[in-house]
Amino acid sequence: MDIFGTSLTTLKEMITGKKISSKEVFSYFSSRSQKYNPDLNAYLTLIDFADQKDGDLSGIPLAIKDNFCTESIRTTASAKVLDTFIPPYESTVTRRLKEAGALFIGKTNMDAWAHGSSTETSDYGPSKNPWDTTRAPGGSSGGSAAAVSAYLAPAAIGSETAGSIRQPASWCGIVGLKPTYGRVSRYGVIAMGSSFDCPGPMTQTVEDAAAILQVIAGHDPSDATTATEEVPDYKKKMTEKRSLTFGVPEEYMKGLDKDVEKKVEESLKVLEKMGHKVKRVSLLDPKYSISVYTILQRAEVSSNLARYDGIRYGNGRDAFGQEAKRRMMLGTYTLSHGYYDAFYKKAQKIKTLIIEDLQRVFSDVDLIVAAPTPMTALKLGEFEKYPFFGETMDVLNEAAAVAGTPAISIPCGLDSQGLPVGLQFMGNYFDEGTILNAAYQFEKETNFFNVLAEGRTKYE
Amino acid sequence: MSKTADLTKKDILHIAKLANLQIQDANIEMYRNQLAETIKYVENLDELDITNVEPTSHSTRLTNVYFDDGTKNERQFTQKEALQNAKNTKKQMFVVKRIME
Repeated sequence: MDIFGTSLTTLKEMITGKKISSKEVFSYFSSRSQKYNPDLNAYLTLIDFADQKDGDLSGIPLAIKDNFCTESIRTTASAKVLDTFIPPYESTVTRRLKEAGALFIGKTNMDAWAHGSSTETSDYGPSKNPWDTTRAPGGSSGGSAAAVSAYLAPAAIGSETAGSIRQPASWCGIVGLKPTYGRVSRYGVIAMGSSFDCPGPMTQTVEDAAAILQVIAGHDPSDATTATEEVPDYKKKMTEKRSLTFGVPEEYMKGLDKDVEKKVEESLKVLEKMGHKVKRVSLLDPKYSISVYTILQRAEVSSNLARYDGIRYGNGRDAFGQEAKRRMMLGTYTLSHGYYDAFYKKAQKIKTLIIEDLQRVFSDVDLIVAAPTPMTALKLGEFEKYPFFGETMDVLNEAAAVAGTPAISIPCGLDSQGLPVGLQFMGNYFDEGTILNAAYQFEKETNFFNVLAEGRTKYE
Repeated sequence: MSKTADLTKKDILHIAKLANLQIQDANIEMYRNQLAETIKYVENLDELDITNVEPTSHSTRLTNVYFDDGTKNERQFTQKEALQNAKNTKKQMFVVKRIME
């Protein structure tokens, strides 16, 4: 049976209806992964079939970003410091997925410690973009995005600190959802910026993203920063008939690549045609989000990476790559005596302003719409031309990261080079339901312009 | 240390020491430039007025999360699990560098 391109939701129906066994599905993805991984470097570790539990994801093989601790399975965060690390425990996200019946096909490549937006900082070499293997898949969840894009997995788990789900999703033509901070547990996720980190689904369809979020969302006693808010029925929220008001921040339409701008404008027309309201709004210049994010995240990195001493696990501090060292040093500088108020505290105050700014706009609109990244996939190595590369790529993602609000990236067409362009919907706290609703309606209306099917014909 | 983006070589070595990182002499200038570039960039925050603005640490403003008394610690490792990834152990303990003479 040829299941190429089948969504997670449909695969699950096929497995439940006994049209195909979970073992057949697993070996299908396993052999595809073995075949294409040498070209794409999407996976660092491939995993053998294991018996699964019964649940909402019974028999579904998923690709897991390598910063999620998986019990007895090597977990490196693409860093040589953790080259041989075998976690003695399971992250909450992967535990919940296993309890729902999911299987893991492999651990995916990423920027080392999730520090980057291209996977080029990985200590195990960059992943390649399946659309054009001379290009980067984005990052830091680039291996997960590439795996879904080339159909080496029906869906994947990524994590985002600022843009690490949305930007690679956009560059690889898939769906990527960053939930509200605290909606999904960070327990067992190798920490980068602890006040930002958010695990989330990277999928082919919006329905698949809702199905995964349903399983991984919710309070976790092992992560005190998780929210106690009830988890709604996302599928129900997704399918309600709603007319929404979208706000387009003028400040986010500046500096875009011409093709990206064109696709976003076309998407706004689609939303209007579907009966939604689209209005122009104003937000703080996103350059301030970059600064707040840079200060807070580097500080948290310096603290989080301080624990890697090579004594209890992993290799010593000489194994850190340059990017990690650079971030730790900046964080150490801004947190050092006499500088805390000038950097960290000031950034936390402007975080308050960014939250208030978003709240002001959300009192007027249901969702904010923008591009997730100003340009489409760059060539490998091209990032060296851009000073401040990661932040430039994520400039449009950082307000939601700083505020901790949820957002999604969905495909909205191809640029003149035939590369996928993303569209971003940002929502208010815990309003993943409205984001999924809008994204699902947009998908129903456009089928995402067949972007994904076009991009992966060479992998059939 | 210098207050502004004018970091010196000495500053870089001091920061590296605080962060417990060894950096090669050949890379000092690179780190100096990169750190200075970033510090210069974030100066744009001075353009905003933050008088009477409270700092935010947790986005959704959770405060004081406690375990109930007597909560079982399900996250405890066995000694074997705790030691399984260590390179240097002795008598079921981690071996560390001597810190006092």
